[in-house]
Amino acid sequence: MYGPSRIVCVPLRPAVALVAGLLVAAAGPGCGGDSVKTRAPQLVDTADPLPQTDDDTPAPWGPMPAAARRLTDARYRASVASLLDLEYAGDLPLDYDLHGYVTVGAAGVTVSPYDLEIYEAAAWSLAQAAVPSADARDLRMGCAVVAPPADADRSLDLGCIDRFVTDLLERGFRRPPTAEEVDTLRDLYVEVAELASPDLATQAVIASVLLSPHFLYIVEVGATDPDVPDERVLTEWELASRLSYFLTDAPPDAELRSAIGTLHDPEVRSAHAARLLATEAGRAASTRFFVETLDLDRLDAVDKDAELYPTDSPSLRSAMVGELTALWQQLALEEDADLRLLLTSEAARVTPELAALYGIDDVASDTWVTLPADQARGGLLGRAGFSALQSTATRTSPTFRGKFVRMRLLCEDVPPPPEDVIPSLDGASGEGTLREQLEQHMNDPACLPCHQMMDPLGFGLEHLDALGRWRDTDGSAPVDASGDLDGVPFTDARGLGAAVAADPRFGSCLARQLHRHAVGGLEGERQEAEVADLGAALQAGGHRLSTLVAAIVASDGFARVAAPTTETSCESPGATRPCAGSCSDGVETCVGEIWQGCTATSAPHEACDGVDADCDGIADDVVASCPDGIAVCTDGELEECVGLDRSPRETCDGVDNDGDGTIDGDHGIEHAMAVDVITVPLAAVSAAHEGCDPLAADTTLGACGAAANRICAAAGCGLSTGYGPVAIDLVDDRASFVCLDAEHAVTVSTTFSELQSHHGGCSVADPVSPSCNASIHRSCRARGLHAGFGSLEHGSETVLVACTPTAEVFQVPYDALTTLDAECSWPDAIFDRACRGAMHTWCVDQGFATGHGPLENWEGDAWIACIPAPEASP
Amino acid sequence: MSTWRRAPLSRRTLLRGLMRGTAVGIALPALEAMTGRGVAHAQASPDRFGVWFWGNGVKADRWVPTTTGAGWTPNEATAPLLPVRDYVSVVSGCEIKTATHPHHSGMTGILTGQRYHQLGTVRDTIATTFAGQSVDQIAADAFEGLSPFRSLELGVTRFRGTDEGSTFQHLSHNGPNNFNASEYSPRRVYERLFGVPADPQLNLVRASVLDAVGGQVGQLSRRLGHADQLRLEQHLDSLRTLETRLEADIGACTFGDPVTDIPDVEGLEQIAEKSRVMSSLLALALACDLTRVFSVQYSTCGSGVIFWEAGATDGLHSTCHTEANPQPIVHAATTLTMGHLAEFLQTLIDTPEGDGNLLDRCSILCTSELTDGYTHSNADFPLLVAGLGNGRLRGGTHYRSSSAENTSHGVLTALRGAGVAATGFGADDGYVETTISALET
Repeated sequence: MYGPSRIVCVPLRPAVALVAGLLVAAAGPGCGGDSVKTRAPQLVDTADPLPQTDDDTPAPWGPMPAAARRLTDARYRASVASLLDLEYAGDLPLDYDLHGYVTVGAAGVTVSPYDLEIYEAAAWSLAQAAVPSADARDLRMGCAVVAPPADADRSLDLGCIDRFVTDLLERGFRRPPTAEEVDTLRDLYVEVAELASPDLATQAVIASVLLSPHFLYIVEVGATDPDVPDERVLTEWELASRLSYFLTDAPPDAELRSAIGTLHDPEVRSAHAARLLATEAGRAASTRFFVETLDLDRLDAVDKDAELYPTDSPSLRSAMVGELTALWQQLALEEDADLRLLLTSEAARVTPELAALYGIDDVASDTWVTLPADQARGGLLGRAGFSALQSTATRTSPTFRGKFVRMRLLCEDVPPPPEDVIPSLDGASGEGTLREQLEQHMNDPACLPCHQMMDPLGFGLEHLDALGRWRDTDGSAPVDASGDLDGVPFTDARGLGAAVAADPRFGSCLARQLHRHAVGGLEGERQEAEVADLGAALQAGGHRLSTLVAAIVASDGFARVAAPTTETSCESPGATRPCAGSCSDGVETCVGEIWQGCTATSAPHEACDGVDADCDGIADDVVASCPDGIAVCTDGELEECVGLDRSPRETCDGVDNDGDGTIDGDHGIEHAMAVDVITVPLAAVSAAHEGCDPLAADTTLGACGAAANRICAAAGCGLSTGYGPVAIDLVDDRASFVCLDAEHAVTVSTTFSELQSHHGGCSVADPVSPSCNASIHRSCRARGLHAGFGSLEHGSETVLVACTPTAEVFQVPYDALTTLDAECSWPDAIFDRACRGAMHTWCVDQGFATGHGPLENWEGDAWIACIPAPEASP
Repeated sequence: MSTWRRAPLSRRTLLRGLMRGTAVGIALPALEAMTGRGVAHAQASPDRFGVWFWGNGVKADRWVPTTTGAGWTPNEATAPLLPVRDYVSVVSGCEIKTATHPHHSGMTGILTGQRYHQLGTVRDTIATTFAGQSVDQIAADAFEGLSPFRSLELGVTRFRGTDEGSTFQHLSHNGPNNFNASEYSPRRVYERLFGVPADPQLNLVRASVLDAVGGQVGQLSRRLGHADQLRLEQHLDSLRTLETRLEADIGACTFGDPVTDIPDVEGLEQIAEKSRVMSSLLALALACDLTRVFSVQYSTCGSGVIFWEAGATDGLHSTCHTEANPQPIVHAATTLTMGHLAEFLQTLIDTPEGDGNLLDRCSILCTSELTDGYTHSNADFPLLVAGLGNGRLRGGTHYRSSSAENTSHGVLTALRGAGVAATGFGADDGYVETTISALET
């Protein structure tokens, strides 16, 4: 399970193949005519940070700039459904359709005041729907936040709040939350609960998550790559979101989340992409891409003259869209067929109404038909939906139709009309067919260069009127539907479709469009080669969607972003200003009018990949827990699971597992509770760990921590770890330990490096100490698990600690503890057996089952974690 | 036993304030007290600035009034404005000085006095956004904090999106790609302005949530690139705007029965009715002092609205390109549009305020994105300045430039007419510092 085969170390430098022959022939036939090409210089979007080069040398590969992409309408709704299991049917801010895709506009759009109002209204309406009653609140939180009977002094279960908040944040933000994020929401909860009610507090927390920028944007900060300072490697969580939003318009599902840690492997990404594409959400999302590519989402709002087109109706419009999306779903998804068939297949999914438009009369219900051969419609270009969309309300438009094919299907530019030209067909001089008028128009040398790029393509559809109906005549003259695609002649829609399908620009263009949609932006010069590679991969793979999707998600550009650019100019040499990285802040200095040398470092998530992502100076300082121990990362790979040195363990199975002659228990313990005090002979303590002398006052050394852990783990019946001794019985030579089951003490494998990041004093030299207690407390809090103790076991770097998620934390003066045990006193004796016992007793006095600490010390006060007695199970 | 207490928890500022005051009898401070901006509510005749925009221009030879100076004589298409003429000044003979593309540069040229900001280099035909804030947002900055809504953006005829960037879709802009989308649904406008009664306790919790979220936006921003930082600045501004509003007492403004959307009748868009309802909603919002700044996007730049009442069967943009000169349908559509503008202005006149009416207090720039949809020209640009600007504007005057002056002069006149102390308007070739004094008192 944790063997090397699972985690693969991948080369992190992108292998860029700049093969000139693969570069797409983007120029096309051009528009000719210098007067058309020469345009006033414009302020151009600065998305691509690379300066334009003067020569023809291809720019070196580099990833796209990062952009926080606002959730589109569809993505917001899916994210809410995933987070709250609620369907949101209300208003959302308008999507911003840019360069063909709302997913591209999402990277540029802001949240205006009105947008924010709409988001806020949505958040509260969802929060109220999520928590309609106190019962629903407990169900939503997964725990009873107000323990009955309500005690005015401690009526809120902070552990319950923390668990709820942590889980909501992790799913809402699509990554583990920081301790600060948990703290902020917990505080909000407590305050609103005290002010108003726990119901409103729960709603406020939900609304906060829904209004957070970490929810509303797909945030891609990435991790610093020390070898390539101007690039960032997306974190595993970011990769998961990028994959799932691209392919399903939804946040990562459980299966994808469970793959976190492995997504830097392109093959793993491709496998998940294939899986996601096949889901219902994947089908809907890829169909949305197709709809946007063809602009079909506008078809229902296109006006048609009611007298000229009396058979037009809303249901006909939706049948037109349905026909085309069915074609996509059948060919691209069901059959994973050659996508060029979209342009040539004559199979059509029709309603009776649409069938009648095609002149097929005997259709009673929705069905697949073959279009009448004599209409020679071919694939999607000959369908009613395309023709109706690319027409005016009263007539066809060969120019619109041709322009669409040229720009959207072949990815070529058609310049706007020159400034001194009135782009009109003057109806006063209009004689003959529309085609004849247009041809007359093209005699004008100012119009010819561009119109010859568009009109000859559109002429191929002249048999299809502005609603897509077949026609033999335009006015009184017969239709001439002959045209050509850059010299490839055709005489009808079928021929036009075949010419486009046979053109290599079609595949390249499709790859380019899907790439834009996937990464949410226009490719720049530095991505041209990679986009061309995608086109080549599509072609090599038989023009199948699955091939293209796999190639996109496996590409280097999918896993990386350019390091963010900041406002770079400055005026005062030597001045400094703060700058930030994702794991530390720093300063940068003004040198030569440019801010330089930011000392901050970036990226929070360490992975087992040879990279020091969390910038603590140690690469791969991660361990993973595994069924019987921990797995350590070495050289970018997790090693086999290493079992901790435990004695054979008794379990509640009616068998004497450990051979000590007792069944389901050890050391004379036959029945244990979820939180229990286990009393064992002193000899057993030393046997559990020879370094622990239970009679010494200082029983807080690592050895006794380990002894407690082992004694509890061996106690059986679900008890897994614990602490102590909390009391010594010198009459019977026995020591008492507090043992907890896995629900009350969650064991966590971590490292001393991680603990040191919380409190610098914690080290392997003194693994059970006030410093380590503080570290463990903070580390557990960062995980949403509230408090903790340890170390339980440790190696030179790895360390096992226990978090106590159900604990409530109290700030207690040491004076109070001294009254319970005179040997526990601030500031000299705060960390020995006496204090340990006093804290346990203090918590018991407050009505809890037990307690541990000090978690932190503050001016004569100890922070103590009290653990409530588990509810009696039936 | 010694005393003990719960471990300390940080408190949000707003809630701390609330807990001191307790939930009972929360005295909501008046907005000006919160913002320290003085005496807004006490001001009997607050200044307002607005934009009223229609797409595709006019037929200039049938639109420009036939006489200049005071008491101008309307042309055919300006005849509907005759009843409100005393409130409306006309500026003709000016042109956009930053024009390169008819629709795009006309739109940005008139509303920002600047060239457009091109998005990407892939498509030449052409995706753009505004390079800077539109004139209404200059006024919104000046009036910030004086009323609950920084600005209102409304639309009338059906929105038809394109993918050619925000220039073609939206009027009001805070900056590039940073637009304030117009609301086309009367129902949603009603619900937003008058629909939900304020719940003081909930409002404070809402403000507290926004406060927490604002902290996250700030922190996130520092980890992002410059372009994203600018976007998040807007996000933060939006949060502050809403937070301020939640603390304000919006007061008892009612609008009678809820407003519903206006459906098409037999496939025909009910333009006149839509315009009437939006005009009424806006007049009440102004009377209640919910906002000091508004824009009405009667139709978008390059709009494809079908003016069936004017005899049109095709979208206006398409008709502009294809109808035979002298384009009677385009002309009739323009006349119809001016009629709807006149009705809107009349609604403001019919709404009393202090010793006068709403239009006495307003300065409204009324304009389009080009001169003529047939020629797509930017010369002899149609521009009106409506309202008396609290006595700053003369009204009822036609100023005709004989030297193709910059349209920005007209825009700056409208802006200063609302009392906005702008030193200039526009950028580069579009920049001006002087107004048209003939329009001013």
